[in-house]
Amino acid sequence: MGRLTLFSYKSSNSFLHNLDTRCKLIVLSFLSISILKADFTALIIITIIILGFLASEDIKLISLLKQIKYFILLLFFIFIARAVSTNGDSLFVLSWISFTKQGVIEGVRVCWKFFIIMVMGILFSCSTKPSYLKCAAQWFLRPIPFIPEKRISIMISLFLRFFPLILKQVNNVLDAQKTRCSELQKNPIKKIINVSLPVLKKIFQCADNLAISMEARCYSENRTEPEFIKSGQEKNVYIATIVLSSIMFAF
Amino acid sequence: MITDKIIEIKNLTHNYQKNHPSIENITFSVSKGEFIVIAGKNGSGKTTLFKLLNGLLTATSGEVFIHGKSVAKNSIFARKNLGLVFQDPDTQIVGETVFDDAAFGPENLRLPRNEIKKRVVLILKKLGLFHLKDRNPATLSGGEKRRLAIAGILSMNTEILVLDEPFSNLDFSGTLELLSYIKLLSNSGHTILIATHELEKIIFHATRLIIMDKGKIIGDDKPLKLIKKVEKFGIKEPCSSKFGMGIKKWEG
Ligand SMILES: Nc1ncnc2c1ncn2[C@@H]1O[C@H](COP(=O)(O)OP(=O)(O)O)[C@@H](O)[C@H]1O
Ligand SMILES: [Mg+2]
Repeated sequence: MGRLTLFSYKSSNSFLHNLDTRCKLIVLSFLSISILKADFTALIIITIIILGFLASEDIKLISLLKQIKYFILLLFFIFIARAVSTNGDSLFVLSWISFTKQGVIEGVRVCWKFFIIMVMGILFSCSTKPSYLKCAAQWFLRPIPFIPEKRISIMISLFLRFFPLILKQVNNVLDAQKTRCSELQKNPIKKIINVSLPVLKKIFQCADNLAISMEARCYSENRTEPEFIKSGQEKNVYIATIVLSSIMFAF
Repeated sequence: MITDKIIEIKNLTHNYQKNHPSIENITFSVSKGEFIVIAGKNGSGKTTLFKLLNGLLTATSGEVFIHGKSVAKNSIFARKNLGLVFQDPDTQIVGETVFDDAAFGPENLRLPRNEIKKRVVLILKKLGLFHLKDRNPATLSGGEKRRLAIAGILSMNTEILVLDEPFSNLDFSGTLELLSYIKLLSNSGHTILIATHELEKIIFHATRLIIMDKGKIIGDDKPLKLIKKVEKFGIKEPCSSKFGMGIKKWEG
């Protein structure tokens, strides 16, 4: 699970942590959309803001870059693709591929945007408890008819809770089979069946036990409503977001 | 019907399959504050009996009453009063944090948010879990998980605590810790029923011992009076008793 550390919640008492989750979600989607329109001036402004938040969350830029190195590799390919596929004044020629000036500028712009969106997502996920995210999802789904938002929210939380257990189970089964030389089995379909049957069996057993113990704890869909923690800064954040978005649309 | 017995079990029989009773004609009652150990080898029907006590299973015949109310007709009432902690804590813990899990039961009871917080903080402190309240339950030790499963039940203010094989998969220190918390709960007025085949660990604290075999009760008395007979039914007799020293505290 080591490589997922950046995306998981860290408890702390920062500005972002205390902000209402619904507000964070709205701002995140708003900024992600408007950033697509942004030009370099706006990108510089939002980068400075985001670096500030990273510092306040105590995330080191170097360790962040290390953890998303594959994403950065992807950005690099996007950059190359942009740089060679955009028409314009030729900057230099590598064997037969020519990099254009417009292409390089365009590539930098696109990659920068993706990078910022990625970092915003990281900031969101490390400052938001999964249970708050679940509550927010329930809140956003409420006005939509025919969607059982309470059932969905309990499903989200059970998924979050049991997914690591299932992964662990798969690993246990794999290890147990390796000790009995499962590697010698060459047929991939048989291999999959050998692993999935015991795992599925265990999952169904777990699900059964889980359902019973939830019943023992009086589970029903008619539960206490989720609670949202507000820091009182939400209004200011909304105003700042609108200003920022306008800047991005303008410059 | 008003009695001082908080649980009354009358002629309880249950079959999973036709003509193969998993428990058969069980009758006994429990008074407030008792500490009962139910011993029996695997398959003797302990878990089945417990699931019948709070209406998770329906009896084939016979009935269970809690505070004089029929469990079959008032299962929510039964579950609020009788908390059942299962053998495997991993499949009972539903919250993503220790605090959220302890709050799950009270949320189901639709208690107001501040009341839930008060109760959860209280119960986590009582079970020595408060400093872990923001932890992911998956990262807890075996003993801590077991205590969290108990906390998840007690936060519903249940007075009767029913534990199914609470010591399985626990190491020595985990068992010691759990024992001390169970004693604490007993002293603070909870009525306790424990199913186990590891008599040695808990019997010193029990006020009553019930032996089950093949779905029947074959002994129900003070621990000292029954302890010599348990090995006939596939349960290990505590060493101290074997060597003629009566029942000693397992934890020394
Ligand atoms: N879900 C089930 N379906 C069929 N038979 C079961 C089921 N659960 C338990 N049994 C049977 O009921 C009997 C009592 O089991 P159980 O209550 O689990 O005993 P214990 O908890 O004392 O080990 C056993 O013979 C067992 O095989
Ligand atoms: Mg059992």
